[in-house]
Amino acid sequence: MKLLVPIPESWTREARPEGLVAVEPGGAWRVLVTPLVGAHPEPRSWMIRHIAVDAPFESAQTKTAQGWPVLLLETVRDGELRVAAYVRVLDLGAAIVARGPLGGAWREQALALVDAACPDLTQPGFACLADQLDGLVELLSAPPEVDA
Amino acid sequence: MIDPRILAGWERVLCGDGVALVPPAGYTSGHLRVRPRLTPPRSVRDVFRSLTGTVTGPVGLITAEGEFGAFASAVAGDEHRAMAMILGDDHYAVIEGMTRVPADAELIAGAVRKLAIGHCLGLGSDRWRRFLYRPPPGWTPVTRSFATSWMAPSCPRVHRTITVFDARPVRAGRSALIRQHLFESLPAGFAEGPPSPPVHLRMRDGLVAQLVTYRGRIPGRDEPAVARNAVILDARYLYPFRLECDAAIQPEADETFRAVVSSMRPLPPSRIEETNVAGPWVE
Repeated sequence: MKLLVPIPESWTREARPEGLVAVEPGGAWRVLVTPLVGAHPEPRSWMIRHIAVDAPFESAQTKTAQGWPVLLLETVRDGELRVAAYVRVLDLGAAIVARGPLGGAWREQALALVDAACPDLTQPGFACLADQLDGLVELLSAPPEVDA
Repeated sequence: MIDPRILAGWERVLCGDGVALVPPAGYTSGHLRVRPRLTPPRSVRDVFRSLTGTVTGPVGLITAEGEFGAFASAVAGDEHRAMAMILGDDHYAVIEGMTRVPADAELIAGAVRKLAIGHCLGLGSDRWRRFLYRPPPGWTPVTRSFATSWMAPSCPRVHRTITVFDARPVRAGRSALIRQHLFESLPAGFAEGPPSPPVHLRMRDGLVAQLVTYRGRIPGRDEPAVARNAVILDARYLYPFRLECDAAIQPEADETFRAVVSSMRPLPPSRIEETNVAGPWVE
């Protein structure tokens, strides 16, 4: 399972323990997309602790284009702007954190990435016995042959 | 039930992940191979794809332990093959047989089939396990521990999920109740009042599903919501289901929910006869 974010092909990407880090070709701004895992019980506290720390921040509730709820948090820290979004999908959640210089046009691009984010809920294995048995469900609904 | 003596006279060769069996007439007559624990799980169609030529089956089978499986046979040139697959919870077993002597094809196929029906996965009949039902077409599954949630294509704009929990033995200890409380009961504060009086849905096989409805709100959503629990009991197992949806679409969502609940098949019983399992160790 993961949160799909339409990061342009031209960006460099690196898989890190905390998630996928992508940097735009000029290196001016970058994005971290964390894995889609069980939602944090208090995403706001989590984001403040990891993104804003002691810096003042602004937050807002919004939704992705698909309609998944998003908690947005923006702050200026260490001379850069940080735009963080916590996207909640049912009881799962993932964060998108964009960082770049103050006053750049990239902020709107980052918000567009958040807007377009959508979940990929694909998991290994089978979701149910019917999937694993393919077309045999009908056969198994008949009284089974007990012995050969 | 399969007679353990069926393999009397066959030569048994342990080979890594399983065992090979050669009938009394010798290797040229054919052979069998039993591979008891294969991972990761694969679909029946995928496993039986290795059978080529004129294929008969696969057909479903249920083992003496009450596990699901399938059997098929095939003829390709002078090669007669038979194959059975038995599904475990997180693995599967395959039993294969092959002969180039047409007169022995029935012998090999019969042996594969009997070994499949008598195959011991050893998982136990009183365990939490998946059961058969028809999932809602086009919905997205989210697999969880002991449950699968199905998300409607309309999510998240219009909320509609169906969760099918694993069947669990009716006779359960306190730990089962703790698990249900932790993972399966509705979130605290969801219900804005007592549940509706139960309604009953008559199923095939004479089973009855009991449905109760709660009204409340799903965390993070403004719209009023409905949660509907359905539970089916047979002599051995309890089969729980839950629908969660926006209240505005309950009639439509309920139709899908009832179709899923009605499609369930009770788990097959174990048909194992008591036997002296210590015998081979001490005789």
